[in-house]
Amino acid sequence: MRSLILPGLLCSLFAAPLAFAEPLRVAFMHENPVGQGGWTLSHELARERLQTHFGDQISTRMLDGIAPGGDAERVLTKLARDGNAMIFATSYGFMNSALRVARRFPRTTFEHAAGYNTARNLGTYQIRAFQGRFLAGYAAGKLSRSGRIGYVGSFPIPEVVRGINGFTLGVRAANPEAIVDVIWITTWSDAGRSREATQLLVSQGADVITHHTETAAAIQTADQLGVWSVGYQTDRSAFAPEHHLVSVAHNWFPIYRYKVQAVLDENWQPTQEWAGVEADATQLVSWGKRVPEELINEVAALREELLGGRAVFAGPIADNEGAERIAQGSVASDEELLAMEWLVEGVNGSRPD
Amino acid sequence: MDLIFIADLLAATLAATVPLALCVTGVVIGERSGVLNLGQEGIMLMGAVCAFMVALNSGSYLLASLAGAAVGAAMGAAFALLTLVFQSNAVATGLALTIFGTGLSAFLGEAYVGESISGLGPLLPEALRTVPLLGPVFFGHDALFYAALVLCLLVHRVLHTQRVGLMVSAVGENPETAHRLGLPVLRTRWLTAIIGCAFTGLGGAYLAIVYTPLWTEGMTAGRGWIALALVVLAGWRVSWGLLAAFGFGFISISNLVLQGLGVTIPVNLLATLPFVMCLLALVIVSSGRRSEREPPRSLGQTYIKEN
Amino acid sequence: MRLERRSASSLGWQLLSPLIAVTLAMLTASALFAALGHAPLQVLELLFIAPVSDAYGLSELALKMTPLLLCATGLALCFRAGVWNIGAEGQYLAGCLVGGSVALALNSPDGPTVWYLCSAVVAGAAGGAVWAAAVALLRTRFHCSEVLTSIMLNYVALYLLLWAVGGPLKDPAGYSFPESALLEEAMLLPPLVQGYRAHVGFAASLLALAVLWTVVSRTLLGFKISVVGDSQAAARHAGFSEHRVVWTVLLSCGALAGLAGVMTVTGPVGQLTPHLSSGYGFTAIIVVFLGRFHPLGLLLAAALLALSFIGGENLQIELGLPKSIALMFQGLLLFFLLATELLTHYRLVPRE
Repeated sequence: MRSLILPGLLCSLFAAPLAFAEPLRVAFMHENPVGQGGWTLSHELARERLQTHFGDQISTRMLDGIAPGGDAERVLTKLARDGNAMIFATSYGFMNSALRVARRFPRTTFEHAAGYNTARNLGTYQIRAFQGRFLAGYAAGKLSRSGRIGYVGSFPIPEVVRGINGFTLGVRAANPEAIVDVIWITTWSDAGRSREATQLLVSQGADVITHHTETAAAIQTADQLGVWSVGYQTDRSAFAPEHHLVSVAHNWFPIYRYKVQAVLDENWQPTQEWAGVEADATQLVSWGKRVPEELINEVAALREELLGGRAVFAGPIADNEGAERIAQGSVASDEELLAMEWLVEGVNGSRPD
Repeated sequence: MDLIFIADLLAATLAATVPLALCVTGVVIGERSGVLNLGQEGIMLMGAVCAFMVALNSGSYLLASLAGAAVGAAMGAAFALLTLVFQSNAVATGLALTIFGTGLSAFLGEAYVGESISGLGPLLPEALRTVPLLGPVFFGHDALFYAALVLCLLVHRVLHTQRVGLMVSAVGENPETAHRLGLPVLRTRWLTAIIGCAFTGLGGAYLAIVYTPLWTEGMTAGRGWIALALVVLAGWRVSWGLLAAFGFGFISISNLVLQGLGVTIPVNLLATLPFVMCLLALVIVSSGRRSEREPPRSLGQTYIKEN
Repeated sequence: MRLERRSASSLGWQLLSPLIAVTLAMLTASALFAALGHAPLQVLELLFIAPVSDAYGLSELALKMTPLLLCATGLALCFRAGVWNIGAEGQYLAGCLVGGSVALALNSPDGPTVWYLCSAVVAGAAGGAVWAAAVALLRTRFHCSEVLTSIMLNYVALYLLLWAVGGPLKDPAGYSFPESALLEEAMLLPPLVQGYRAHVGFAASLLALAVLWTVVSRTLLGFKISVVGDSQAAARHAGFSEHRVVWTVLLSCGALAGLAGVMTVTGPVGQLTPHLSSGYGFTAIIVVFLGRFHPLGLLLAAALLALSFIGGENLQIELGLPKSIALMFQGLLLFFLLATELLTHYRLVPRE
């Protein structure tokens, strides 16, 4: 008797889901190779967690090294034609390609990171990394003895400028006299250039270094030169065994989980999703072993303030040429943040373009 | 700008020069014998990834440097096989080598992204390093830095003052005549192709195990191409090549320094500076004495052995 | 066995050797794929057949081939004259920048847009030609090697483009992103077939190829170019102006590369962005050598390389193979093609 029932039971248990739950196909498309680390790697780590989280419900795939422009549009079209129900395009350069392809494939859901255009089936998402930057900046401002902090920038695009400004506001909250020196190296991935910029910043007097590049070369050089470093995008502590201060890591997983769940539940909307400390989308990870405990607690308290509604870009804020940009009592809107191209007071570096 | 800052700047430039200098030296070795190998970028990447893998797994920097050079040599041998035995076109073969090297290095290095090694410390004792100004500029570098310098100067001596060097030049200038004089044209080119690429591989190794030290895809960022250009600028001489590499490094670091001085030129325009200066230098050099700056006459041409 | 030089290169082997090379490359790649645990036949199908199995795929192939063919046509002319122009990439970018600027200045949904578009295209070709003229001037007036100057000018063109899209040409409504405004629909090149992305530029590239064929094989200019390429001394002896030939080939190549650039801006991309080239100027060099300087060869080589790019994406999408695999395969294919070229010039004979 038992031998008869059990197989039957098993069949009925498995047959139903198999019959109707074809896994949701989700594709990710990146501009840079995962092998360059940084931004793309942070997305890839989130994809792995996403696949584990949803298990059989979804099947994910990833493409990297896709050049924006004509190639990106071809790949997006191919992904849509192949029956991927949801496509994440993770570079700002994919925006107009995504917009065009989304128009041609109305039944596919598109998501674009860091952009500003939405459509009926195209949403956007971004991390408020400037919040994490602000917290790390505060720690850097407290630890810096010289009051000069070095920042290795790549290209002067709004995302990078926002990070510099958030960081500098944090630094100045801890030490109103401190200065952030910025050097632009006009490359995302040339580790050699990062190293050279870091060396110059340190010899100009910086005793904390941070970076907005794909590689960890700035962190590594800072460690060799014996100064603190703040890693960015992923946990960079392995590159600075002695002098790592903290890393500001991107955590895309909560955003991806939310967006994919919405498609599974069939209530997805083309929203502009910006997630920050409240979703743990920007996190401070791997505090250095020599960072004082009280400082870590202070930063934790500051994070609570952000959770409680304190804004990073709350007026009055002036740019580094003396003009007031955000008035007393007002807070920068998301729209202003998205288009940010001025540098706040305390940044030593020319207007980027 | 104070003196200490200038000393730091010079020290940084010297270290930045090493990968370029090694590659430039390698290219000079090959090109003086008539071997035109445009595959430098791919060879440098392969040298970098293999050296990094060996350094991470064995912990030995000597072994890693040798691995970088050996991989370079192997790619040089592949180039020689194609161009000398199969008589393929040198330009196309070099480009194929770049494509292949870029792909294979990315494939091999996939598991090594995010790994970290400590890098080499300074070689010389503390007392020398702390000599004011001179110390940080000249005595604060690692063992491989000095080894690379010695190697390049050695090549300079052999190529420009020794009999072997004259033989190489003879093969590069006119292989038919060299053959008639009894010089082993093909064997010479095999050797220069392999040794030259070993230098390039070592340059990649320096980049990955000492200079940065990490591995990322495409980390040479065009240094192979720039080395090829600098060799022309240097008139196919190692000493001028080293100077050109230093000058190029100095100008590209200067553009970072200028930013710190509050110069308000847009950064992307500033980034053209090294290339524009390089063009200007070439115009000045080329307009002068012409005869000494001609390329080896058989450069890049297929050599067909007479029977 | 030993090699004996053929008196004339064998036509049969010229056709056969690429086939042998492709077969050898496929066998090697199959071994590699098998070692990685993928069925070789499936991989090859994904690489070479799936991308062109329908009209959409063919249109995409034509689109990808367009800039490659235009650049390769110009480069073939240069290389025949012994002018080693490595700067098609920079000339392409200069075409993007100048042509794109004109298109943006004239950008409007109505009016005589055909003429606006034509001006933009002509400006793009002119921009590429000016960039190549710098190389020609430096070589003929200052005796500077074109290899070096053209490589350096590639970098200069790239940074100028980055500066322009982040500065003067930035879209005022674009939230400070380093991109220009989008071109109006009327300012874009018409597609060859409605609903597909391949545009009239593909026809233009075929036309350029035909013109090259005629010039090289039928005209005095073509003859002069080959003479200069073979021996500059002979050219001087015959009374040709070497300088004039250098200027002619470089200006033509610059104009064609510039055309490729502006046709990308007014074609699939529709705006100026920092990433307008996927290294077309460099890949075109390979196309020239693979195609063995022959117009038909250029066409086939451009198709093969474009296909391997698109097929490489397929491998990533379907099998999760890294992109580097496609690059390795391209390199292998090139090695075999170059090695088998020997067979067209030599034959194996038994040793006496």
